[in-house]
Amino acid sequence: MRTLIPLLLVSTGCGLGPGEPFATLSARIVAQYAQPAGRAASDGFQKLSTDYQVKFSTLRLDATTLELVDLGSGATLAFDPANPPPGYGLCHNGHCHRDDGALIDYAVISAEVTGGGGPSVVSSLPVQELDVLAGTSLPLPCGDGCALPPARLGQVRLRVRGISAEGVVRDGRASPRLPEQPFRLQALLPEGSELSTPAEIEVSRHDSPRVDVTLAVLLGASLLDGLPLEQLPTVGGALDAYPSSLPDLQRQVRVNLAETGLNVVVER
Amino acid sequence: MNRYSLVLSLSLLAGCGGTAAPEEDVEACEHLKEGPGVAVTAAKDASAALPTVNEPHKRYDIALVAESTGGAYGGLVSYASAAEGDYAVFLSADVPLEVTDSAGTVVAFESTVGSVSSCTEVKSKRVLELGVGTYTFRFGPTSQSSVSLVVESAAHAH
Repeated sequence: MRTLIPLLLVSTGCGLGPGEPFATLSARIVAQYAQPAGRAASDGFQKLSTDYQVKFSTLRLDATTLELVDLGSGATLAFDPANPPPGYGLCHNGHCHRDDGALIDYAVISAEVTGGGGPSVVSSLPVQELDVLAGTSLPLPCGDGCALPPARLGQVRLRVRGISAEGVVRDGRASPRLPEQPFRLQALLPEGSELSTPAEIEVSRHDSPRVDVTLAVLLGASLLDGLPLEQLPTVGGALDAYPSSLPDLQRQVRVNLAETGLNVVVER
Repeated sequence: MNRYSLVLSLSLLAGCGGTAAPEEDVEACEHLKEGPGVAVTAAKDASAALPTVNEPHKRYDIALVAESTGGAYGGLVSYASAAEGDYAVFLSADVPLEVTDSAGTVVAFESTVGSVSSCTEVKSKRVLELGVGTYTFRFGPTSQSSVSLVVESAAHAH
């Protein structure tokens, strides 16, 4: 399944003075709790693919930086996602699962395959922890990173360090596999973890010198999809949804996070 | 030819007056031909944990198990749907298939065809609407001892 990326390009013309950058960046990040209609259950719970149901009391994403990326030679797909290069497993939704469990973007793999110039970060903006459940909308200060050189920005990337959640789970089946009870998820993600989405932002003397980027992160119950909750250990009276003793389940959470919906809106 | 080239070619055909094949047909044909494939053995009944066939863009090569009587084969696998919508179930053999939700309610097929225009590997395409949750696929009884399965989202199937 593919996510359609709404991309709004409003040209306002251009005009640079001597010594000015090709464009000036203004960025904002929005985090929202995703509540698709098909997941709605009673009492504010959301359905999971396992027939369990979840209601969050907290949901936070520890993001570190938002990056605008010039994909370089990686902009051209240089491998068949149905037959990944050695070292990679399942490929879908723009990334492949590397054998060590990391999720690697198609552009990075394409650059590896071709041996050409890989993606380069054109602008990197610091981001703070995002309160997904309450909803967050923050302008991102960028300092020198506001000045954009000529580039073809093909990707917006959010570096993430961890995710934390608490709430209650219950079973939606007639014969419950476990009683309604609290859960806790505290995930420190592998270094280099990221969420990314394609973009089409051309920075040149022929384009508007203003680039306003808003990245929206939509995160919700799908974070716990596929987890056999009945197998989770209990720690401190709550199910541990990221148990170090069950690395396959940790990997499932990371895969779910990588599938998180991102929308990028660009105004010029 | 990779997936994107194939889709582009089919799009060009459509532009010349042909009819483009549904995207899920193209995807299913590619995965039935080229995988990646995963071998699983169907469960004989629901008393044991069912093998899962959840991952998209994969071909599941399902070994069916001999039924107690009649010399036929069959078995159960589990599919967890993470989004509400239409799905297409592609099989390499036209074997009986029944899909039920966790309450045991049978999910009706919206359409069933024995072939698709994109390839000859598909011997059965069934489209059905699933909600978020886990479903049981029951195969058989059939004389076939195995069947390959690809499940694709069919958002625009009808």
